[in-house]
Amino acid sequence: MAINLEKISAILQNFVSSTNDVQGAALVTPDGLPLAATLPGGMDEERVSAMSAAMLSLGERIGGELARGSIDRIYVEGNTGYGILTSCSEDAVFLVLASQAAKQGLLLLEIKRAVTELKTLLQ
Amino acid sequence: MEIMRLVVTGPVGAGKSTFIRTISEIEVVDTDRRATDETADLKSSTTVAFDFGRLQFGPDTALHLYGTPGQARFDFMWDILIRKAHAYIMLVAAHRPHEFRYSRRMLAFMRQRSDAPVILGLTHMDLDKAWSQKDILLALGYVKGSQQPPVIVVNPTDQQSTTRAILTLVQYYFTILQAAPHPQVYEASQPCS
Amino acid sequence: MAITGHLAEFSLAEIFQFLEQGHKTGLLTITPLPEPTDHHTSRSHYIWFQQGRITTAANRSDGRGLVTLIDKRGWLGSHAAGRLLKSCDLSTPAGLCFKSQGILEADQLRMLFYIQVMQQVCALFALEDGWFHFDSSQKTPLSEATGLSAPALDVTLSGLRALKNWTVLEEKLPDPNAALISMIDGKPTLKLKQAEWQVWEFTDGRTSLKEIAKHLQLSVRQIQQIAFRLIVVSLLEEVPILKPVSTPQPPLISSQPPKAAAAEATPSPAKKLPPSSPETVNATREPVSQSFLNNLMGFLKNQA
Repeated sequence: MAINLEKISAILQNFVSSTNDVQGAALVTPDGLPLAATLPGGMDEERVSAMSAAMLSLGERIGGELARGSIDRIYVEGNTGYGILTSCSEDAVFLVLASQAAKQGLLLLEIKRAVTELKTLLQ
Repeated sequence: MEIMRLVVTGPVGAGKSTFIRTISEIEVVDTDRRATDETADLKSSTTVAFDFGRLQFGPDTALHLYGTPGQARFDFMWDILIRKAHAYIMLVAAHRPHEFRYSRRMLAFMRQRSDAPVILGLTHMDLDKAWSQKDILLALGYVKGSQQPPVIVVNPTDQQSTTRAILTLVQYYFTILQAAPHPQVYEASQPCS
Repeated sequence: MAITGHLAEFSLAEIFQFLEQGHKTGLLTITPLPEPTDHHTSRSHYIWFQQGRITTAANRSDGRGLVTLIDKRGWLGSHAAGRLLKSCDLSTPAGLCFKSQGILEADQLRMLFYIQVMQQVCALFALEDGWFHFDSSQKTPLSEATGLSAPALDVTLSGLRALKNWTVLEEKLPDPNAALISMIDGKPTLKLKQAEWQVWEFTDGRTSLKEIAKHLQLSVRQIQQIAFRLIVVSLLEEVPILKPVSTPQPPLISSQPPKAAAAEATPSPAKKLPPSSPETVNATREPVSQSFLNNLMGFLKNQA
């Protein structure tokens, strides 16, 4: 079945505009190609996708070799914000960029909801 | 522990991951993912971060091998890996002339970020469509009069062949080191004034 | 050794650059794909090189291309060129023979060469695909030669300037985010067009193609095409712009309470990761010791 990219894009857009302090989101393939993205200006979709894939694959390696199990989430915390990678299905990775002001608990909850929604579209 | 870091780079499908898997004594840390781009025509999976292999040859001495992804969208990984490399080998498939220009760009990228010694490893030289070594160098931009890197024909699936390639690279690093002392060594020997 | 391949993979411009830089002598055959079904159209095109220069070109292999061109002009009366050719010495190009006998003027030779090479070869840049074959054992046939020759790069420049449909070269075009550096000392000696000169002025290794486009008020696509032309005639090369992996934002101290700003200024070393320094080349690479290398080489020699 064809993946409904339009719907996926709509979910991302909605997620970015309706969640407080979220600056961007992208859904990418595990080999680093963009499926859909809503990113802050100046960020290159292809580059963001490739970086997400590289990060997730390394995370999964760490999970495996250092006995952390399968990876749900990778968290990058900088002094101006967060980058959070969530495994979405076998075929996609969900990246969220949020500002420093974001409330983490709330953010994770929103991500969880978006991922559930995205998963049904990716099946 | 003293470690030498070597990078194996080159376009998609040149044989980088295979090379590292063949020579490494440990199970290679790979970051392969199923390919969904045009790479899929060539092979089913592709490296997205790096491959890592190791050769330990003494109690405190080891060779670390890093393989880069081939696609330009992972150029940040090229950047990360090349900066720490003592030397690197660029693998080029001799029978795919359409990749020569891409290889040339890759070399320019690496050279801009690192002055580490480089050698060229030509793969698939046994195929009918393979170009000659001389012609490949020319197509990669090494014209008459320019300094040419050492070139070795390599079969990434063959253990002896990959070992010879690594030996060539290490020997080349050695001669370069002999010819021009590293600036850091030179600075260290300067008296403080 | 013969070199073969498909134009879709190794473009005509790249072949010419390769043959010029390698000072190659031989015959380049181009067969368009899919092959023309029309029987009046010749199947292949032939271009002869000598020391990297194009000496002549024809769309027939019987050695009668030049005399046919002369006949078409009607300069010598019908079929006279072929007869006259027979009286020519077999060691000089046909064109020079005609000239020394006073049959053709230098101007006429130049015109013939222009039609042979510039017109016929330039049209080949528009081929979507084709099969190429370079045979270095074939010398320029004297019956096709005017005695004139042109650097392959001149032909490339003209051919690519006239090219309308760039889809075949799409993936060969330089990256819009890359910059350009010069591959020659001083200024180019090739005759460049105004826009090409303007792009040439930006070969500083810092200005991206996108920015050049903005400066010159041309589209990025146009700049990519101009840059590609200058790259395949060996004037330029594209280089990636050395940029930090991330551009850290300057902290907005004025908008922060003084306490937070102070805390920001003195980070506890345990918590904060040291920033990597992408600008410094080889900062983290210490040379390997001599004894290490000796051991390693001994080890590898045993293995190989």
